[in-house]
Amino acid sequence: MTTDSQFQSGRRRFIGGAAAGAFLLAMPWPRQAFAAEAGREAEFTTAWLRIGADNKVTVITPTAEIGQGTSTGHCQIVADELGANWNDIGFELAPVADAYKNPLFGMQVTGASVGLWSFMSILRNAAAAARTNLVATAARQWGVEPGSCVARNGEVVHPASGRSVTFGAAAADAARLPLPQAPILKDPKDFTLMGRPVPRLDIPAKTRGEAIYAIDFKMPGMLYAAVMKCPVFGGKVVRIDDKAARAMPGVRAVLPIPAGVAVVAEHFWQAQTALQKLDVTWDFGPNATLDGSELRKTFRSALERRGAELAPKGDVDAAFKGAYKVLTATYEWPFLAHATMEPMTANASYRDGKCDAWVGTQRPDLFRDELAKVLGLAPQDVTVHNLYAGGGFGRRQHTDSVIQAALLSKALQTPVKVIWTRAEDMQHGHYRPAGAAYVRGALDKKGKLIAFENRIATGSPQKVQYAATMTDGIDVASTASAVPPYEIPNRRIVYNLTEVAVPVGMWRSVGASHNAFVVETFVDELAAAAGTDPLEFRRAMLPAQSRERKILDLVAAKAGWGRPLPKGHFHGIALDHKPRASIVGMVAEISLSAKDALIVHRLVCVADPGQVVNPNACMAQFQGAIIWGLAAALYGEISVKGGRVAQSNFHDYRMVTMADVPSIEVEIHLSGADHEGTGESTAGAVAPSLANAIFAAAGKRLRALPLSLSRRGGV
Amino acid sequence: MPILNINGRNMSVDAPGDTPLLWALRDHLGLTGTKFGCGIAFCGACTVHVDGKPVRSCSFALSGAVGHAITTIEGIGATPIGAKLQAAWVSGQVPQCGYCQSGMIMAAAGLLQASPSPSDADISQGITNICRCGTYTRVRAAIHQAAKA
Repeated sequence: MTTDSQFQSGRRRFIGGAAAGAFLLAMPWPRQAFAAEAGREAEFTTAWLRIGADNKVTVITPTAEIGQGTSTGHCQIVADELGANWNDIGFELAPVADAYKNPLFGMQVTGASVGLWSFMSILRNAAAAARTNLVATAARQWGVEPGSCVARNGEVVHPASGRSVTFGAAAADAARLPLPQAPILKDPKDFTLMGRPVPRLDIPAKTRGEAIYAIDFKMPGMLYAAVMKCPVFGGKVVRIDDKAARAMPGVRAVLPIPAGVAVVAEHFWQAQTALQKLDVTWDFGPNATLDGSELRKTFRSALERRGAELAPKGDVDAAFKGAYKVLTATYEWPFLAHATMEPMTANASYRDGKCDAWVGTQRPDLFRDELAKVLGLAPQDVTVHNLYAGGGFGRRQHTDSVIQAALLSKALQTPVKVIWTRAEDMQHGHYRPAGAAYVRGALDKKGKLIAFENRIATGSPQKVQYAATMTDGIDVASTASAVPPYEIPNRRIVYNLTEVAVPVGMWRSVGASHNAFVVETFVDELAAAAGTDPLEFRRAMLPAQSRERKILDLVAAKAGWGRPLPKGHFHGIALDHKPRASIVGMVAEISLSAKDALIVHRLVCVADPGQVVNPNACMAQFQGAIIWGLAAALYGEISVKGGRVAQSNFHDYRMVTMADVPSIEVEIHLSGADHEGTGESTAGAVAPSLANAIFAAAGKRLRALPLSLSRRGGV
Repeated sequence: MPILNINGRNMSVDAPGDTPLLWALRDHLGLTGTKFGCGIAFCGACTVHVDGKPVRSCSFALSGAVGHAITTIEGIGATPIGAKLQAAWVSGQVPQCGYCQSGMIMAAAGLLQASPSPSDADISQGITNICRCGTYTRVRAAIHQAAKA
């Protein structure tokens, strides 16, 4: 049995070797480094792994490394199934190729919290096939039955005779055998890496400032571009007076980009300084007067449309007619920016009818195809190199910055790096859609919820980004968590796809970030109307053996629900199950200051992802998504005025910082059900648990995000 | 040409004195561990030390750094506090995307220099850096661990 401390010390040895000039496996672009070193060619190569003569195993991870840690998880899967020595494992981010399409979506996309488990079967089979051939090679050399040999710790061993051969020594011959199509997989009870808190492979470099992100990438002759798009959505450039900018030191060019202008200089600071010297005349277009109140009206009036219905059940109208008590409410939420810590950044080099791009991307295939289109090249003439990304959260599924870099590189025939300023990043996002919901609940005489209706009006990232995958006019991301996780005999969930001029996109947890707020705050309203304890009201709607009820009971016990709290402290509870993400129960403990300011003391959470590959990495995701949800609940708001985003940086698009962070207590409950995602799941329950605690404290229902006792929220 | 003392080495920088130290480090000297986040000294991703004190280098002119000892994430591991913090960061599995973590570690090193055994309140007050992945709980634990090491 390998211990955690062995993992750590072993890993340190390996990184030590890399630093000493072997090769940089843990870096995301070692393909070049690998090939560049003579004699370092891999002996055994498939789409998913390479084995070198030196025993090093490189795993090709098909998802982006945006901080979620799937690269290490994929390595655990491959190493375990292969029987590799963990000290020999490194990874590379996949290039663009059909093999790396996510099997759920048929495209190369990192999103929806599925990156780890959706490749489980593919990676296990790939590793098992390699193991089969390594074993067959060794068995043939020894003249023994393959079944009498085992692969473990980076070697094939024949226990009966005590003979062994390293993977590296067997790799070249193993590569000459045809790959078995249906290799025999290991019994999960023999796994020594999966399910264990293996330290992440990317973390040591990230503590030393050595990890290379797109913003850090360099190549000879590279120029730097600062860009400015029309501040109003849908506007364009009429005229640019660039005389003053061109006279600035280091400036090489002032060039148009789609809906904007770029200054290209020898250094980024020169480019950014010169950009401010431009005198641009804009045509603000049709959205020049668009503002928040108009947008709010648009969403509110869309609630009255017929819409598309999802997951209908029972006879809702009859149930409402026969109800003892009916409750209605309207909820609202604003646009939100991703605000990745690394602002949008891209590098491109266009030369001789070919283009290379170095980016951190959640859609390498789309990046390649869109670059080919805009450059007039064949897709095979575009190569996308994926690097570590300084946060993704859905934002790096969009091609805007890489297209700018490629157009500039083509115009100047030299490599160009585009870096967006924070203001550019915040004002030209693809925002979590704003929207509104009208909810209605029917209680019978005993206070039981007999009918529930949820009418949502909001934007559709799926239509914008993945139109071909939409059916029946329903955006599965925008409607995530819109169906309550309870057994309610009659329900109607209606989606009114509402398009406005503000660009929208996928945003960590997407629809759960507002739907869980609406559903779980309104369920709390119904509990109050029924005169029932919020926990008991929910429990009564969940089957005794259900995973959801288990999670509710566990989180209630962990938080001490119903037990006395310190004076002035109050609890609020929420349950959420975003499809394909974990089941999450959350209890918030809050108090209110004398001036009605919200003080969050504890967020207690129990999450059931079914199973995990790396419990510590999953824990980090649960903790992180709580912070994500907390920032949105407390402060998150992108507002629109004059057709443009009013916020420009972190001083007015406020983030949670250390001083805001309550005690976050997460427990992972492994029910053994199929794997579910962890990256987004805990985000949705934060706002409703807080809103419900605020109601307990102040008797006031907050139905708009961000939560504020002192003002009205909304778009 | 301004000469900077960075991580114990003198380096000449071919950039005007009003260039922010951040861009001198990144673009001119190739020290890319220090990150650009906001450009207004708000998020702390660009934190370096000038004479041992944390400074947000996006808003600190190169000319102001001349004649002072500058330490970046590439050099902080050579100090006892920096080494302890980096070890605590690894054992506590702190970073996620990692982009803000250079600045976090530099801010934490500044905090521990001023306050070797910080309380939770000291950490809340002293670490004002922004992390979008949400690593705060682990940052706090790692600072405590490094302080005890």
